[in-house]
Amino acid sequence: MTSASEPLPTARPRRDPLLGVAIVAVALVYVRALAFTPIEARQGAAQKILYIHATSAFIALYVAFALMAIASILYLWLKDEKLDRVAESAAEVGLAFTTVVLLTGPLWGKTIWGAWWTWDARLTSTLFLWFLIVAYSLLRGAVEERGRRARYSAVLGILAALLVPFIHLSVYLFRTLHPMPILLKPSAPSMPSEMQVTFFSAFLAFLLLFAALLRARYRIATLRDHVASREQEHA
Amino acid sequence: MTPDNGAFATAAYVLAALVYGAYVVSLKLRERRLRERLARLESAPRRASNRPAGA
Amino acid sequence: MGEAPGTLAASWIVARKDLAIEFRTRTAFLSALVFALLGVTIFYFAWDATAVAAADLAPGVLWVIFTFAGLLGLQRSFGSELADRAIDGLLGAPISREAIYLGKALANLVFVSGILAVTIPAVVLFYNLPFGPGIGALAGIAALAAVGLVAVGTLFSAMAVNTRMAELLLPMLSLPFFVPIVMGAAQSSARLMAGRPIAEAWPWLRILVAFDIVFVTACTLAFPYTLDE
Repeated sequence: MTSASEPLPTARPRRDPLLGVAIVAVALVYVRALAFTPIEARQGAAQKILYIHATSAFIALYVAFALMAIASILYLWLKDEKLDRVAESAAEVGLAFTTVVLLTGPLWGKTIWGAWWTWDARLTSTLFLWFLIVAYSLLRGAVEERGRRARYSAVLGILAALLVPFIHLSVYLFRTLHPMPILLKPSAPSMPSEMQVTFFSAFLAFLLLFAALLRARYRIATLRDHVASREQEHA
Repeated sequence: MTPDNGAFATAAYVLAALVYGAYVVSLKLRERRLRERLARLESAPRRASNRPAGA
Repeated sequence: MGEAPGTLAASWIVARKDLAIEFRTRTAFLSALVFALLGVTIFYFAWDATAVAAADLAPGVLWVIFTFAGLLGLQRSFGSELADRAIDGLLGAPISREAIYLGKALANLVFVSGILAVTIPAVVLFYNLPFGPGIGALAGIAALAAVGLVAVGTLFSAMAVNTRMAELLLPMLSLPFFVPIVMGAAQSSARLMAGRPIAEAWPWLRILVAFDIVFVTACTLAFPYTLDE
C-alpha cells in the first residue's frame, strides 16, 4: 500500500520538466566539451572522455550506490516501503551510470595505457559494483512477496556497501605488488580553467540527469506497487 | 606530438548518449504500460463488495 | 529443564543437529568432495605443464576449487528447513535468531573444513608441492578463508532458499563476496609456499582477517532480517 502521505497514482500521464531540463543540460555539456574545450596536448582528444567517464563514475559510486545503501539501512530500521522504492530506483539508475563508466573507461584506457583493460583498482571496483547491482536486481526479481523482497534487498544492499572497500583494497594491493605496464602516465598538472569549468558543468548536468532518472524510476516503482495491490483486490 | 585519438572520444560520447537515451526510453515505455494497466483496472466494472472506497 | 541456553551453547546445539542430519546420509559431503578432487585433477590438465610449473599453479587452483566446492556445501545448508516449514521448529525454540545463524554457519564450517582436509593433501600430492613449513601456513590460511566463505554463504543460503532460482541465485550473490577471500588466500599462500618471508604475505592475511571480522559481524546482525516473522 502506498502510505497516506503520498497521493495515489493515477492513470493520467504526469508532466516532468526535470527530465527535459536534465537532457538539455547534458546536451549543452556535450557541445561544450567537444567543441569549446581545448584538446589536452599530451593525451589528445581522448582526454575529453573523462568529462563523462569520471563524472558518471563519481555519481555511480558516491551518489547512486551510497543512496541505495543508506536507503537499505533506513528501511531495515524504519520499515517504510518508500525507502525500499528509493533503494530499488537508486540501484537501477546506478546500473545505467555504471554501464556508461565501464564502456567509456576502456575507450579512454586504450589511449592512455595501450590496453583495453588493466585490472586497475578503480575500474575493477566499478566492474564489481556492476555485478553487485545486477545480483541485487536478480534477487529482487526472484522474490515475489513485497515485504520479504524489501528485506532481502536491504540486507544485500548493506553487505554490498561493505564489500566495495575490500574489493578496492585487494585490487590496489594486487596492482602495487604486480606493476602493470603503463605506456603513458596520465599527468596531473593544474588544469586550465576552461577544462575545470567543463568538468564542473558536466558533473552538475549528470547529477541533474541522475535526479531526474531517479524520480522517474521511483514513480514507476510506486505505480507498479499500486497496480499490484489493485490487481490483488480485484482477484 | 598530440596523438590523434578523436575517434575514441566520439565513440565514448556516442555510447554514453545511447545508454542513457535507451534508459530514458525504457523508463517512459514502462511508465506508459503501467498507466495503461491502471486505467484498465479503474475502468473495469466493479464487483459488488463491502470494501470501502480507496485502497 | 533449566533456563534457555545462551547464544553460544544454542549455536552448538543447532550445529550438532545439522551435522547429525548430514552425517546420516553423507551424500552432500561426498558429492562436494568428489567434485573438489575432480576439479583439482581437471585443472591440472587445463594448463601447459611445460609453460607453468605445477607448484606455481597450485594456490590458484586450490582456492578456486575451494570456492565452488564450498558453494555446493552451502546449497544444502537451509534446504532441510524448507520441507514442511521445519524452520518454524527452530524459530519456536527459546534460542536467539543469532544463535540459529551461528549454528548453521558452524555446521557449514565443519563441512567445508572436511572438504579442505582432503583437498589440500590432494593438491600437495598432485601438484608436487614442496613439504615444508608452508603447508602448516596453508592450513591456517584455509581456516581464515573458510570462516569468511561460510559467514557470507550461510546468510545468502538462508535468503536464496526462499526464492525461485535458489541454485543460481546463491552463486550469483556469493561469488562477488568470495573475491577478497580468494585473493587474500591465494596471494598469501603462494608467497608462503614459495618460501618468501611472512612479511610479504602479511598484507593479504590482514585483508582476510579484516574480512572475517567485518562479515561475521555484519551477517550475524543481518540474519534476523531474513526470517519471516
